[in-house]
Amino acid sequence: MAKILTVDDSGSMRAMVAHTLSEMGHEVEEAENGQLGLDAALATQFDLVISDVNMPVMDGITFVTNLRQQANYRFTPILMLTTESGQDKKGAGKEAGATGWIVKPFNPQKLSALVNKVLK
Amino acid sequence: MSDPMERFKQVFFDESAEALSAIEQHLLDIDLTAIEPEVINDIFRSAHSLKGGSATFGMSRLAEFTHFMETLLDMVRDGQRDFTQEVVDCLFECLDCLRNLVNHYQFEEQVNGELIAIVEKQLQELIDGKQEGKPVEGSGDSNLNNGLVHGKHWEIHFSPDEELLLSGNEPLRYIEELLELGSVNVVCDSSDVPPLNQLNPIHLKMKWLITLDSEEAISEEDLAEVFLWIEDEATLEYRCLDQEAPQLVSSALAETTKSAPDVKVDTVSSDVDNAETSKAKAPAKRTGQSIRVELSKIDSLINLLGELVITQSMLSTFNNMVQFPELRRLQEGLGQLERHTRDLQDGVMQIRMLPIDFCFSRFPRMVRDLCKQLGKKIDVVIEGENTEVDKTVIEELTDPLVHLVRNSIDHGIEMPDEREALGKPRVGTLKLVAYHQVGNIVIEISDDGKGLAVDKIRAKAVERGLIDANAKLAPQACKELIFAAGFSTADAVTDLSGRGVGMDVVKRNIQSLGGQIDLHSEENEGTTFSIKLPLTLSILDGQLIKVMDETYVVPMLAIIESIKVKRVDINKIGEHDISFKWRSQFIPLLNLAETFSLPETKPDSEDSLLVVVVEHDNQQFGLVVNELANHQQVVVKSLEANYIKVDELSGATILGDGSVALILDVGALMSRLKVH
Repeated sequence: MAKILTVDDSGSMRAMVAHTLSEMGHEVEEAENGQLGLDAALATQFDLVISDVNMPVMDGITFVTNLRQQANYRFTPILMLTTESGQDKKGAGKEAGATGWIVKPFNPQKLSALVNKVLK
Repeated sequence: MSDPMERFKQVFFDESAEALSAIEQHLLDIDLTAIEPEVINDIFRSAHSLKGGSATFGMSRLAEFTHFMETLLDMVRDGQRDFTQEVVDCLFECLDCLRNLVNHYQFEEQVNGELIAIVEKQLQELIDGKQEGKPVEGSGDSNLNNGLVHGKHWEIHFSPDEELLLSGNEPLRYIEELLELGSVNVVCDSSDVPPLNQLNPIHLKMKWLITLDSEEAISEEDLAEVFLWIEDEATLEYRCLDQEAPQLVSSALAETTKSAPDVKVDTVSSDVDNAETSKAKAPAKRTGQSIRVELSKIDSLINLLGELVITQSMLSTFNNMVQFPELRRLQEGLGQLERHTRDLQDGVMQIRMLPIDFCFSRFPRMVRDLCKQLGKKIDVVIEGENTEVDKTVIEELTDPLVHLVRNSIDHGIEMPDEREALGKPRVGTLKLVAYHQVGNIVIEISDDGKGLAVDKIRAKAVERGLIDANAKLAPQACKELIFAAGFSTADAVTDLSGRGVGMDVVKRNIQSLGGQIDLHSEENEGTTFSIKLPLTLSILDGQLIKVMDETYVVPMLAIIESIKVKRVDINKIGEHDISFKWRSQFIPLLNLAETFSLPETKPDSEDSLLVVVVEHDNQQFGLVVNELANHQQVVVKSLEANYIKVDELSGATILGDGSVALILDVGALMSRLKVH
């Protein structure tokens, strides 16, 4: 069981990710934007962070850049949720320090496969 | 709702509604001369969320459409295309399509394919319009990989950058993933790893040579897929060991994969810039926190509360406890219970309250569209949009308001030239105002148009046979003829008005909500409609009256005064009391005991009658009662839902002592008078 943080401004996406991960037996915390995600990540040490790119207040790229600068998140897997059209976002996410990305749309099966891949 | 996916879908629908109104609000507010990047970002984000969600929940039609829209917005955001009026207009149309599509998935509404096709074409034209000069790079990337070598045996050189670990990646994961494709033989090259005393564990100094043997033919793309996340952070070479594989192709491909990162770096840095500038701006505003609750839950809460109010008022009838000093604490407790019940009641009613903005917000868009259609120029001014009113009232109110606003635009406000000739500003004003007034909400819709023409109305009313040609009518009474059934002054039935819904329907709708509508109009100065409604439909401010042994409730909104009238002042026909003089006019009297055929239990001996003067539709009449009891808030229970609909009654309530009191429908009682 791992502690996972999911950051997304869309409640439905968050709910789906959280539900899928909880079903897998993980402990999930949700945050509505990058700023809140950062606050949560500093309060608790997560084993995996999944973040959306487009969010108000603090977007996903800024969030990941900031998070990666924290000593205790240097090696933590961080996955970004992106849409196919966001080709350059993939690059930006990598530049910011993301481990990988999950392309929307995805279904619970795909999500759990990718999460299993990074949580070894 | 047990399927979690269904539940998430529901959340998605709620979100979409919010996203759509957010986009609409931005589009209405937009000032094309000074566009704030945050506004474009916000619109983009809303469209983007819709796209992500709809694709995830399998709403392909919606996902497809939002993709188009997002492409355009992305270009606007990146400055490849200006935010012109054309774009705004197109986005408005997109909104209509989005609503239609969301409704399609939520309520199975028919997809308006024609409209969507048109709008998609517009979007495409706007997108193409700017792209001519700047071809989009990167599209050839994946195409190159097609028509590739397939083979069962591969050799992979995997040399990760030494920083790889810093992005949370673990090389072993990727090697393990190759196992899914076939059997793997891995040789690790650790020659670069420094001696222990110089070792920095953060830096990865190992390389791998992997040979993969598969049962089926694998393409280079399949392999690249495995290493996709780290293709920019490692040097990867794929060599097909099958004999027919030409060496050249794979090395050429290695070239392309290597050159790809260079192209990307540019876009990356510009993107980071974007992110930073938008971050430097004030953080986007977030409106108040809220949670979504199903209406039925609130309704059942209100129902329970109604029961509590009844229990409380039942307890409050034990008011002669003073004689038992030992019960003083109980009495104090009852006093507190009353206060808390009242507060609780207020609080729970507040939950159902929504700002009238929910209804008003549609008008700027509607007016904008109508103006475009008619060639008129109108400013919409909204005041008091935060005034709160019960959700049910808002729902029922929307149609009548739409009608009134359409009327003002169509018949009220003149064409710009006409206005100028009259010395008015070319741009007309339509004002929507809402405010609270002692337990009621008042909504005013006013325009500065031509006002109601008394002569024209009169002529029309005579023509329609609504009044006699010789009838004498005060100007105000004449204007109010527009509320009469079968009246329409539109010379030609236009697309806007004259859809078979007249002002009489508007008035009926308002009255069925327990409200009233007044009009004030001056020729050439404009018209104001003023609607007064109770704040809620589930609790009524009522006066209890007693007729013989029965208790009834009269809505306070309808009561003007309660007086004693001497028998000698009452005009009779035979045995029946017919009318009496009230404030220098004769008004009819209605004997409730007779109306409800109540057995006579009270002697008819007093020399004066107790009369409650009520008003409906600006006409007054008196109700003869035996006694006035409490004035209190009563919880309205539907007769229709629990028994059958009775014309003269608008509902029932349960009183403190557990007995049922019927609530009088003053309007219906009046029509009964007319029958007499």
